[in-house]
Amino acid sequence: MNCRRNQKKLFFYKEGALSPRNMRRMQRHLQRCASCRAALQAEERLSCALGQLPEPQMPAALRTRLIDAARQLPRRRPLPLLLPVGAAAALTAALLLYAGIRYLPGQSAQLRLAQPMMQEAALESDTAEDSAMADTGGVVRGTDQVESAQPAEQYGAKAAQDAADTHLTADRRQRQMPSLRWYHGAIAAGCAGAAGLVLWRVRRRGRAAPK
Amino acid sequence: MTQDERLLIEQAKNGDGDAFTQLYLAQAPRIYALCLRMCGNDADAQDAVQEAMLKAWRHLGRFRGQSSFGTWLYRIALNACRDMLRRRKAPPASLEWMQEKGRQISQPGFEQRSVERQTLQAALGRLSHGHRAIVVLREIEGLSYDEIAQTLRLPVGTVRSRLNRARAQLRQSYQAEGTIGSEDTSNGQGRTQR
Repeated sequence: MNCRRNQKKLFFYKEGALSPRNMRRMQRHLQRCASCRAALQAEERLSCALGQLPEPQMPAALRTRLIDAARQLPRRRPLPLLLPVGAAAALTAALLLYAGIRYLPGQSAQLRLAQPMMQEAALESDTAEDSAMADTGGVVRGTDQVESAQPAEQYGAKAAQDAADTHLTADRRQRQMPSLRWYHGAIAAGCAGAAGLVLWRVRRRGRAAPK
Repeated sequence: MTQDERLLIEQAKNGDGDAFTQLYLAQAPRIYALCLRMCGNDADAQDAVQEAMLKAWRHLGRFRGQSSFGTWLYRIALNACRDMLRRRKAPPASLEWMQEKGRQISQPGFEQRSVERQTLQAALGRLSHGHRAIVVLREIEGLSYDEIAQTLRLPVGTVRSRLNRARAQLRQSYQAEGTIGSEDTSNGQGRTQR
């Protein structure tokens, strides 16, 4: 075995950190090699010398100094409840807001938000229908004001069908409105981001030990 | 960690300064010994102990009990010593405290042992901060490899290999002084295994 390589491993041998096979090989080598035995003894002497260094005694003055310093310690506040409660509230608000907008029963909130656009769509739809009827020589119903002044039964089933068509058209248009979807997503993402930020701060405060 | 210690830590975390002082003072002699060996002189060591106390108080909320409180304080104290030495830009270890200690010893043969110890302390002072910390924690303070790994946030294997390198440097430096290489050691205790 190579003595130089072995002597680098002597410390691990002394600590019992070699594999059983290498421990046995080292033992066999040490029985034969005087220089490695001397190196091992030097290792052990070093450990002894380090262990025998005098234990320094803490001066009494330092104890007094520490007690004095302890009296002036800045006040430590326990982790405020505001942070976890705020995080939970922000997260809940985000979820409720999103759920309210997306899944409100009956007429959806999206449609309510889109009311002005729906009215405009209905007007356009009626105008287009009137034009088509005029082209085919049918009865002209006149403008919107005229239509509202006339009794509902005049139109009967056709009026109901028109109203349903109007809503469907507006709904289709509303679905194609990217600005509204962006608005919902921004609210949800903002709230979730705020909640995440607060949670991260809380977690950071709780993390162990300075660098 | 004892039940009492846990209780005191909880109280200290809730802002009880007296509980914290009690905890810290119990560890202060070991912290001071570590700081003295790392800094090499009493004044810096005392400053480091006090600074470590303030840092420990400030960061107590981050102590989660994954290691012992003493190990956690060791890490803070080692950082305080490193900062202190950086600020002072002074050589890490002097023989001041060893000489004072040597004067107190009145046993026969103390002079030669004192010289040996001073030589060893000087050799220790020539190591880098990281190597010196590992040697002090393992060989003098007697921490286990796991505790050292937790204190220095290193894998156990790295701690072992760094300790081996640090000891090799120490031995080289110590042998250059002609102390450890010689078979004739005055106290004879050097040959006994720990």
